[in-house]
Order: sequence, then structure tokens, then C-alpha cells
Amino acid sequence: MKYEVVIGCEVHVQLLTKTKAFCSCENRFGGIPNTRVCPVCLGLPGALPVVNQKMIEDAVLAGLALNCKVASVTGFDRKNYMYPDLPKGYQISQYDMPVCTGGKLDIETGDGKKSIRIIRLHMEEDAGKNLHLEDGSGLSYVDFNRCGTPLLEIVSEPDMRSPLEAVSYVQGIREIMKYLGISDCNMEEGSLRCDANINLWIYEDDKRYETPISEVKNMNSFKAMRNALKYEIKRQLAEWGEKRLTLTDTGKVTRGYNDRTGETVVQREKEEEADYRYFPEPDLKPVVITKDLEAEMGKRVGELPAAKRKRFVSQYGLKKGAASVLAASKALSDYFEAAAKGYREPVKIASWIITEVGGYLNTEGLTIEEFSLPPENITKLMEIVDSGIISSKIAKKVFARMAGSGESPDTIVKKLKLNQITDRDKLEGFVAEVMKENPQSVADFRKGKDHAIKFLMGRIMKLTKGRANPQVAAAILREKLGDG
Amino acid sequence: MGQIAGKSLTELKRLLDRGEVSALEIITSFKEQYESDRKKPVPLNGYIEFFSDAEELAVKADEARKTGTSGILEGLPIAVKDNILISSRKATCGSAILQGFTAPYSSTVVERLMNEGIIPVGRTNMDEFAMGSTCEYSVYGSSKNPVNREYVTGGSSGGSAAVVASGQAPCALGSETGGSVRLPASFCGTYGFKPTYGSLSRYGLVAFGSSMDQIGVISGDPDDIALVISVASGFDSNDFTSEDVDFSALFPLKRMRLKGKKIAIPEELSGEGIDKEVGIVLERFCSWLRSEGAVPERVSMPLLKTTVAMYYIIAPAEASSNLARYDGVRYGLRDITGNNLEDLYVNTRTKGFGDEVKRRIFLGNYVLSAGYYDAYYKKAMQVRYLLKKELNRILEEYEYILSPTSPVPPFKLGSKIDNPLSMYLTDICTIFANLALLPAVSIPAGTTSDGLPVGMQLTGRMFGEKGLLRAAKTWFLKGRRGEI
Amino acid sequence: MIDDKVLDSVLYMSKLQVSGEEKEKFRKQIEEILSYFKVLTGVDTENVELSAGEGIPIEDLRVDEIKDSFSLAIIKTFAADFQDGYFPVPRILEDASGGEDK
Repeated sequence: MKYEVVIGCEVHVQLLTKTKAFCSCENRFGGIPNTRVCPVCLGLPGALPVVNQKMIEDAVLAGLALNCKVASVTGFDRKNYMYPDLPKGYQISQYDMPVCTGGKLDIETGDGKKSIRIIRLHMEEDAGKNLHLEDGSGLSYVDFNRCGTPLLEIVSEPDMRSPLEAVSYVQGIREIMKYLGISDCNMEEGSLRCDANINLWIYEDDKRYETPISEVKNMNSFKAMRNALKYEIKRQLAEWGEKRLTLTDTGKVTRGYNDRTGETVVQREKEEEADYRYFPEPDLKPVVITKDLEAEMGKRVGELPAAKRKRFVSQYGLKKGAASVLAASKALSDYFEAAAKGYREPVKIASWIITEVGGYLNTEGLTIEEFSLPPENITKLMEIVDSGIISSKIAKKVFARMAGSGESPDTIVKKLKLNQITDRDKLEGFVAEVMKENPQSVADFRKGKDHAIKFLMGRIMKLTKGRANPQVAAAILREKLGDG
Repeated sequence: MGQIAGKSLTELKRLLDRGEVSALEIITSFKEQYESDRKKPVPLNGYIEFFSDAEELAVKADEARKTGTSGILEGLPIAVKDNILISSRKATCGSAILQGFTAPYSSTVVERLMNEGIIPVGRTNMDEFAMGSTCEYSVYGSSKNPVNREYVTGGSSGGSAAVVASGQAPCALGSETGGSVRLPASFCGTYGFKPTYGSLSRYGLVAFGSSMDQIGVISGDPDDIALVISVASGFDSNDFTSEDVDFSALFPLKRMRLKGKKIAIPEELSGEGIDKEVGIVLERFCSWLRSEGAVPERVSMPLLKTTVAMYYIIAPAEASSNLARYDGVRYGLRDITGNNLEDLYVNTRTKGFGDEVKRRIFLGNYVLSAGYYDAYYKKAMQVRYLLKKELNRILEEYEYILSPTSPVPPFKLGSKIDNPLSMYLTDICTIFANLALLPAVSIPAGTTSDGLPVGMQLTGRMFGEKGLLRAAKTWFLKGRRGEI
Repeated sequence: MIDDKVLDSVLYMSKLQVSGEEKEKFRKQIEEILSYFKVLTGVDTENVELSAGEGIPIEDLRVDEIKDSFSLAIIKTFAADFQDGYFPVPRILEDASGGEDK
């Protein structure tokens, strides 16, 4: 039997704004339940939503990165349904004036590059969380901390033809959102969620039959996504064989994926399909997006990870792995390029940033955006190592200090006297050389002209570019002159 | 000093500023007025609660006046409708569903007034969720018209009008969605003012029809209204539908020179359908306007025949969504006698909401639901757009639009309670200002042969509050000179 | 004009119940109001494009800065029921919203 798999995706991405979409409560994952709530996100009587500026900027940024058209005016609507995690009884979303429309995302497939069309990108607020404890109380418990978290919903055309393509598409979305730094896209924590609409086009007797669409939810990892979609193909084929149901017979059915069983189960039949009674949100005026702002955001998007990876390999000679790591985040790649500017060995800088800077951020729990050390200081540090003043082992010490204090590497090297030569063997060599080149002064000293030692010390300092430890060098000199 | 209860806010302010009376004396006097009315066989039932600590607050205000730390309204009383939140006070919107709810924050309007030292003395009765034109749809029972207790106060801010008209408060806050301040003001013989949509913040005003809701002021003296608006108005960062207006110089009001001002009288609100006695008061009011040199003219505005239909589609649509938050999950009434979530919702709401609220929730969900949206909600919004355009065009040519506030004089309690549509038609004169966002004032312009109050309504341009209140003041001064 | 199916489905959306004898009265009242709305059909709205009205420039929107949230103590002053820091509801059996089982 000849058939085609047809998949479209609705991806929800939680934004990393400091505050929630419509109130000033902190937007952060987890925490003590119901401690990040206020009149607005708890849906108290009399409370009104107030749009977060950053949410709109992030949405424009994301839309531009996905090659979308940005609306000049974008508006909010109410999507009405009642559920315990939805305190107002409606979700503020966007219906007919979404912020972005008509984009595309290129993915790599076995047959080369393929464009997946994006219908729209809109903003909405997340719901709270219902907790189901096995406590025998017959209750579920609601935590509203997540309620009001800004979300982007990205809706694709049904352009994907295999589970693999669907996964690549969502991975592509994830890469771009992470790169822009607007979401951490953690599927386990739910900051990236994907619902997939999947059905089959079956070709029989020169006709095309379309099986009922399943909207598959609860896919909490890429592996789960792949398995769920593979399962659905198998299930729909079997169902077709048995019942020969088509889309017009049953419409769309919502199915939840169960990771333990590897199966999908019906969550909602068509006849229960909700009527959301969308209407324009009267509490919010539409938002005007000027061409200037769009241009500014366009500049911020700049070059996307895929192009950047290629350029890093060709321009700086980086290995693919290193290029991928650095190109995954806009802030990180900018940092690398600033540090590599005017330095002749970008590969070395790249590996420094990946291992040392990356390690530091990891232990400190910081993001690259929060890292205050100017990239030029990394360049300087490299140069100091190159000039042989300090070893690369010492350089790590210097880095640890400058990452914390923000001092320049020169200052640290001086302060910690890391540049002084105290090594006896090395200094003996310098003393011998100076003595050899200045026999007159050596003779003068030995005749009792004490000041000659000053001249010789001066020579030693000049020879070591001031790096000789004066006490140690003087002691050796006196010893060699026979004064010790 | 004379009697305190019955004096206006402005007069009391003068007495307080001169030190001729204390805040304690003022509050005590109004409280006594309230207490003595409560003992009557048929109390007015204007207050749901007179705050037991009001006198304590008055003592503090008197201290503040002594130490010179007082605001411009220090120690002055105001009554507040039960749908405008005051932090740590109860607020029920006249409904059983908000039983036990204590506000954790104050509305912006109350907060701004309290920052200037005003003392909210009590919560006033209202139609449940401001849905009603008589103040009979309250869980606390109806308020009675102080002029004749067998008659309705008008609604929904009936309690506010009753306490002002009976000298239990000098001034009161009400709220409007379709005339809920002006109508009871007209029925009780006081001034009632609805500002332009956006002049006052809606934050902390429990939402009914968000695109029209606006806090209003009821008093026997237009200067009181000007004083309150001057303090409470202007942009609020918690309400992005509020506007950056500056009415700080509104108080004290000067009289208005009406000479040469053209005033439009809609034929649709002055002929057929208007009670004869109301028509007589309108004629007398017109004569006065002419005597002041104004030029009243009859103008046809056919769209005014459709305002009741528009309003009773749009307001319930918004209300159905605004009232979805009363679900028994977080606050207010919670009926847990059922077995599951659906029972919690249905039992709580069926028990908590009165019949009129249920009708409007139903209507709202009906006009928004799939299949009816275009014929009702969308159509109403389109006609609303045409109405706005038409009224703004008329107000370019005319200074004000004049009509009765109500097509009928006050009617007896219970006479319309079982006929929702005839109740709705009481709003025919007031609704257009709400739909078109315009400011409007109801002026006590005369009485019927039975001595029942009749109000006339002036509607002005967007943000033309000053001109409207000055016209009201001109009438007020004439009344004080005994010319009417 | 409003058949049982429509009446029941809108009541279901409204999360309201109207029982037995009240139902007919309710239906009649609603029908009377709805038929009054027909007055709108006489208005020509053929070319009326609903604009969303005047918009707000992004610069004027709320700046992304954290403000204080409620303390648990404040929540307790208005909550109908608050157990161990949560709002309890009758157990939700089939949760399609991605709730957590623990």
C-alpha cells in the first residue's frame, strides 16, 4: 500500500522574560507554589493585564528569525474556557491579529535541504499547574506560579513527511530560540512543548484517502516525539485496514502520548470540541510595531546558527564541534568573535572560551549574558601567555581571578607578581651574562666601589625587562661577586 | 455650623479647612444619619456596610490636620459602591458568589483619593455585578428611593444615590457600564457623572463590560464631582486603557457661559416613548437653556434606536467572560457538595449568581458562540463603530447632546423585575454615551406632579468633562438662587 | 427559536444550571431579548471594517522589571480554601493540560 505521512506542528515556547506576560510577578520555573502570584495572574476581581514590552520584542525577534512577516499592529483576544489552572476563565491569546505570519524554517533531510512553512506565530499566556498527588484526598492541587508566563505559539503548515522531519523541525525551532536567548527550550521542564497533527494520505485505486487527524500531546522529549509519531503511523495504518475511516468521517481527535507504554490514547473526541468564543480583549489596546523597531530587531537577529557554524569553520578554521558550541547562542558567538578579533590564533581562543569560560559559567550558574568580563581581556591574557610571561597553567589562575573581580590580566599579573623571575637557575644565568658583559663594573665592585652593584642590578633588570625578583637577583649577584 | 449631614463634600472641606468642624464630628454625623434610618420601618438600605472603624479613621485625620501632614481631602467621607475595591475591606458586588471575599488591594481611584486623606465610610448597595437598572437585583435586597420608599432608586448604583440623596454621605462613588450612575442619580434627585472612558482607571473596579466600565461620582453638588475627578483621574500604569489626561485644575468649577452654544436634542430620545411628565421637564430645561442664550435644536440620530440592542449584546458578551473567574476555586463562594470539578463549577455558579446575572452570562455566551458571533456580536460592534462616528460628528457641530436621563420617572419597586426586556429599555437614554465612550452628566432638573425626581442628561465630547461639569454648575447655581 | 440543544450547550459553556419549570421561563425571556436584537439587522454594516482602534507603541508598554508578589499570608486572607500552599479542587481525572502526576 502506498501512503504518505503528513505532519504539522504547534510548538509552544516559554519566554525567558524577567516578568510574566501581563503582570510584574517574576517569571521563573518552579519554586515554592503560589509565591509568584498577584491580583492579575490569580484572576482576582478588578485586576487588569498590562503587556510586557519584552514579550513583544522577543516575539518580533523570533518571528524575524523564522522569516515571518511582522504585523504593524498586533492585538490580543480572549480564548474562553474554564479549567482550574486558568484563573480568569479565559486565556489571553491572539486570534486574528497575530504578531507574525507566513515564515519558514529550513531543515536538513536525507534528500538535502527542505523548507517547512510557518503559518503564524502568536503570543499568549501559560496556565498554572495542576498537581495530582496520590494522597487519597480526592483532590487535585493548583499552583499558579507558572500562570501568566509568556508563550510563543508557532504553527507550521503540515509540511513534514516523517517523524524524523518533524523532530528536525522542532530541533530547528529550539536551536533558534536558544540562539536568540529568548527561551531555554527545555522539553522536560516544559519550556518547549510540541503538539503534532498527524495523519496519512493513502493512495488506493488511483484515489487519495486521508485518515483522521490525531493531535498528539504530551511528548516531553525528542525521543518521545519520534516514538509517538511512529506509533501513530502504525496505529493509523492498522485502523485504516480495519475501519477505513477518513478525516471527513471523524474529524480531528486529541490523543495523549504515554511515555511508559509507548502508546497514544484518546483524550478528547470531536463532538466535545470546545467553542472558545474568541473576542478582542477589551482590557488591552493593540500594540503598534514600527518599522524602526522591526529593523532594530532584524539587526539583533543577524546571522542564524546554521550560517554561523559554517562561517566559523571557514573563517576561523574551527572544528565543527567547536563551531557548533559557539554558534548555539548569539551572546556566546558574539563573545567569541569579539575575543578573536585581532588575535592570530582563533582556534586557541575558541577552546579557551569553551573550556575555561564555559566551565566557570557552569560552576557559578551564570549565563554568558550575565558574564561581565570584557572579551578583550581574554585576548590580552592569551597575548601574555604567548609572550612567555606566564605559563598557560598560571593563565588559568589569572582567568579565575579576573572572571570574579573584573580586573585586567595585566593588573592581576602585576599584583600577584606572577611576572617576576624568582627561579634561581634562571636568574643565575642572567647574573652570569651581565657579569660577563660588564667586567669593568665587576672589577670596580671587587675594588670596593660598592655602588657598582647598582649598575649591575640595573643591567639585570634591563635584560629581564624588569621581571627579575630584585631581592633574589641581588643575593645571587653578591654571591657571585664573592661578597656573600 | 448648622447640620452636617446633608452638606456637600465641598462645603465640608471648607468647614474642615477653616477648623470650624472636625472630621470626627462629620463622620459621626453621617453615621448617626445612617443609624437612625436603619431603625425606620422601611430603611433605605443604601449601605451594605458602614465601616465600624470610620470614626477611628476620622480621629487620625484630625490629628493629621493638626500636624500639618494632611491631604487635600483629609477627613472627608465618601461612600463607595460594593464593586470598587478597598484594601482589606469586603467587596461582594451585591452577589452571593463573592461571599467572604476580602480585597487584598485597593482600586486606583480609591487609593488616589485615600492618598489625599479621604475616608471611605461604607460600601453601598447595587444590582448584582452592576447588572440592573433598579438596584433590586441585589443579594442584600433592594435599596429604596429616599423621595418615596415605595419607588426604586434606579440602578445599578442605587445604594450610592440613596445615601447621597438622604444625607448619609456627601458624595459617593458609583460605576457605569450603561448608565448605572446617571440613572439612579436621576431617580433620586442628585447629580451623577460618568467620565469619558479612560479618564479614571478601572484597576480595582470589578469588571462587568470592560469596554464601557467606568467609575462615576454621585453628589448633590457638581463641585464635589469636580473635586473627586481632579484627584482621581489620569493615567494608571495598572490600566493601559486609562488615558493621560490632566483634570487637576477642574476644581473649583466656574459657571459656563452658554450663550450661543448649540445643543442637540435627539428626536429619538425626546418624542415617542418618552413619558409625558419627563417631556415637560425637558421642555422647561430647554427654556432655561434658551434663557441663557443657548440654542437647543432637535436632531435626528436614528442609530440611537439601536443602542439597547447593541449594549445588551456587547456588555453581556464581555460579562460572560469577565464572570468566568467566579468558579469556586480561589475565592468567594465554593460549593463542594458535588462529586467532581464540573459540579464545583455548576453548583457554585448556579447558587452564587442571581437570575439577571445568569441571563446575561447566557446571552453573552450565546452571542459569542460559533454560528451566532457574526449575527450578534460582530454586527453590534460594527453598529457601535458607526454610532461612535455619528456622535462624534454631531459633537463637532454641537456643544452637548441633551436628553432626559431616563425615558420614565422613577417607578414602583417590583414593577419591572420580572420583565427583563422592559427593564433594559429603561437604559435607552444613557447607553449611547457608554457605547461611544463619551462623558455625560445627569442633572436634577425637576419633578413629576407626584414630586418624583426627573433628571436631564448632557453628553459632551471625549474628555470634555470640564465643559459638562461647568454647565451642571451653572444649573446648580441657578437652583441655589431659587430660580427653579 | 432556542431549542433544547442550544439551550443546554450554552448553559454548559456558562457552567450554569436552570432547572425544570424555570427553564421554560428562562427560555422565553432569552428568546424575547434575542428577537429584540433584530433591530440591528436594519443597519447597513456592509462596508464597516472593524479596526482595533488606536494602538500603543511598544516603547510605552510595561518595562520588564520584577515587582513583589503576594505573600502566602495575604493569599490566606481571601482564599476560599488553601491547603499546604495550594488551591485544592476536586480531583481532575483526565488532565489534558500537562499537569503532573506525583
